[in-house]
Amino acid sequence: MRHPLLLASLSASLWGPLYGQGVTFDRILNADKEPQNWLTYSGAVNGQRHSELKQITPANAKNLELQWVWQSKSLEKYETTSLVVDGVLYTVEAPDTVVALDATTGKTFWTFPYTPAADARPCCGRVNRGLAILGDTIFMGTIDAHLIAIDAATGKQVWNTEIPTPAETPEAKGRYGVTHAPLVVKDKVIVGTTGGDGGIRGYIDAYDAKTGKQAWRFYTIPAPGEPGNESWPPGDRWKTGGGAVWQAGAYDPESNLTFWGIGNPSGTHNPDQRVGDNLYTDSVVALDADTGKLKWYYQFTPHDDMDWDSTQVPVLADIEWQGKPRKVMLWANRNGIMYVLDRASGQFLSGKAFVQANWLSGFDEKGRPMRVPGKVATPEGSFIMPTMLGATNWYPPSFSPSTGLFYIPGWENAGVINYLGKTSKDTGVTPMADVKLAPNYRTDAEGFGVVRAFDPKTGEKKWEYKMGDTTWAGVLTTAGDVLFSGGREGYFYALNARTGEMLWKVPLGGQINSGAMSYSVNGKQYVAVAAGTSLFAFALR
Amino acid sequence: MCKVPSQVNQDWLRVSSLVLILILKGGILTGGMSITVLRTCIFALTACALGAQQLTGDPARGQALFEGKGECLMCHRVNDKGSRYGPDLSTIGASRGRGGGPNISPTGTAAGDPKGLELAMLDPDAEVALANRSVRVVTKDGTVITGRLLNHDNFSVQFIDTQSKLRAFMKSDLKEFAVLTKSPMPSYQDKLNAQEVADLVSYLISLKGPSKP
Repeated sequence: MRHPLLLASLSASLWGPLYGQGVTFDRILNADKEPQNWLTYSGAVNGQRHSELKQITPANAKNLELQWVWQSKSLEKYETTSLVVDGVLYTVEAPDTVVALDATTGKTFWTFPYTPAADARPCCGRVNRGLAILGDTIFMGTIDAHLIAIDAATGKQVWNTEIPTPAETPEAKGRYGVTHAPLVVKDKVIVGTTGGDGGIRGYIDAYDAKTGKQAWRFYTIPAPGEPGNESWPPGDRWKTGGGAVWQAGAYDPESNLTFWGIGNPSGTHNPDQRVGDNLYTDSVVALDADTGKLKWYYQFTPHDDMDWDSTQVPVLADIEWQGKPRKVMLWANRNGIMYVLDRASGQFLSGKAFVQANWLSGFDEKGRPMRVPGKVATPEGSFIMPTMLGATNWYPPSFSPSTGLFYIPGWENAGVINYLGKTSKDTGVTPMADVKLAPNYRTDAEGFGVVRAFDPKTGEKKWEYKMGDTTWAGVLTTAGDVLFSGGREGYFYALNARTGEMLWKVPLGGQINSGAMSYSVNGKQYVAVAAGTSLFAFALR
Repeated sequence: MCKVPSQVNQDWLRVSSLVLILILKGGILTGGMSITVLRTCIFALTACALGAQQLTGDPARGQALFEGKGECLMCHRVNDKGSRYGPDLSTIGASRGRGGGPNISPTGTAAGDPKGLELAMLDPDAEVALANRSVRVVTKDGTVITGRLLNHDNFSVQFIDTQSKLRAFMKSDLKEFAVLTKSPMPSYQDKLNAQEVADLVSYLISLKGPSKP
């Protein structure tokens, strides 16, 4: 019988540098130059979730076939996008156990088990969406608010830092945690906190990658005396304002800004108790990556009464805007609007609905949304679209420099009756993500999932792919002009990124609640996606 | 509060309920009153009227109706008898709480609720649980098949047909496919009198499944 360790060492000798040595920040910044690897949650710091690999094309995608399956021991939702570094795949078994696999076989190199504190109470699932790497070290945030560094070669812990609980909210300690993938910028590891519905005061932290020592903190809810606190009512309401961060950020090396989406204010359905815009909830904040100082912000949904977290991945793209090159940020928001912002200044450039949205009539000259009168939470209830679970949610979109299109996974025909002081009521059927496939009895009029392709220059919809059920799956595009996604129906599929034509599909037997990624080993392109509680890898036969 | 006199004429009550149901279905009232509110009114009036008569149901008579005149076994199943096409009512009398709501509970909010069961018989369309929805497909050779929907996705549909046979089709093999949000169950408004409805409800409420050890 062959010994697994012998196999691993044999693999290493045959296939070169298998272990994650020397992933410098320069390599991360130039991730597009080594498309065989997937070095960050989004593939690159620009958040585009786009692979430069071209082996899989619209012409041959029908020949995709399963290469391996890795079954997690966890029964929690598998929301992780894995990393791949030189033939080693790093993934997370929910909630916080890191596993290193051979990316060609799915066989395990090592496991780093972690048991979160028993009193960890993260909202909406004990999940982990991904990891980060720098040098030879893997970084993971945990649902009990630890940031852990792990040796990429051995799976041994390097350091473990407990993220400090804000002094204002000691009683909310169990609600703080990390569910998103950390972002490495230079020599720092940046993470936020979950818990926005649990009376926390949100923050974004940076830690020294070598030591785990805190470098800076930015509070997403400003204290008295800080700019933005005037957007909260007088008193202590700001202390438990919410403003969680539960999806990965992005980084622009030219401006040295790091961008993060901020979640909803706590007490979403009691907006009268927090008069004001409630900064910086439902905003994108641009922070100096060295200091954490706020450079600009844009608030998508001031004074949110719908639970529209801006918990989406910021997508940075260089596009032509009104005839001139412009460095922009694309943002498909939970509130149903697709935004184009100038990423250097935060200037609002455009906002257009990508699903039915009846809550705003347009934007003022500063880009502030103008609410439709009555389309707010009322005692008798007001019908609002999109639903409180959102036109989209945390699951990541994609931008393809090849097609120039922005691809948004979302929900259509979904709305709620929004009651003041009470939980809103779905008008259709708007289920949360789950591990197992669930029966679908829905009509299109009651909501469906869809991937829509937009030209960000004009806001024009180029095509759409409609699903029978809703979706909690992200979108991946490749330089071969193939788009990969999935949904609650359990199909993982490939579309022509230029036309939306269905190229290939496979039922995976569980819901797809993650964003796919692509890598290659020995010249063979793989596409990997988590579904149910397992990780699947496909390649051409 | 119910204001209906205790000795109100039974036929009048039945006609009143029917008129309200017809109003609802015909959309005669439109002045801002939502369909949910209208249904609630009908529910309340019907229940109020029936309750006002203080009719006591007899489970044995109800069972006879269920298995005889009502022809309920043509679609429903109780324990080992009846069709599997409609919802299995073997435990319909067991209260299952309201946490799941009408969209989740396989038998809707009527389970364990006498008033809800009355309404389900008199106006089956008033609340159709998601799991009780029907499907109609037309194959490419023109064959029409209906059944209780078990699941559908972008490419396929699974259901149990009226003969209790499990069926599955690829949607690409169908000429037509439709999820039906109306109930295939006929209204018993004109088929049963108030006493018979009370008997049937009494029987259904008695169905609580096997006793637990």
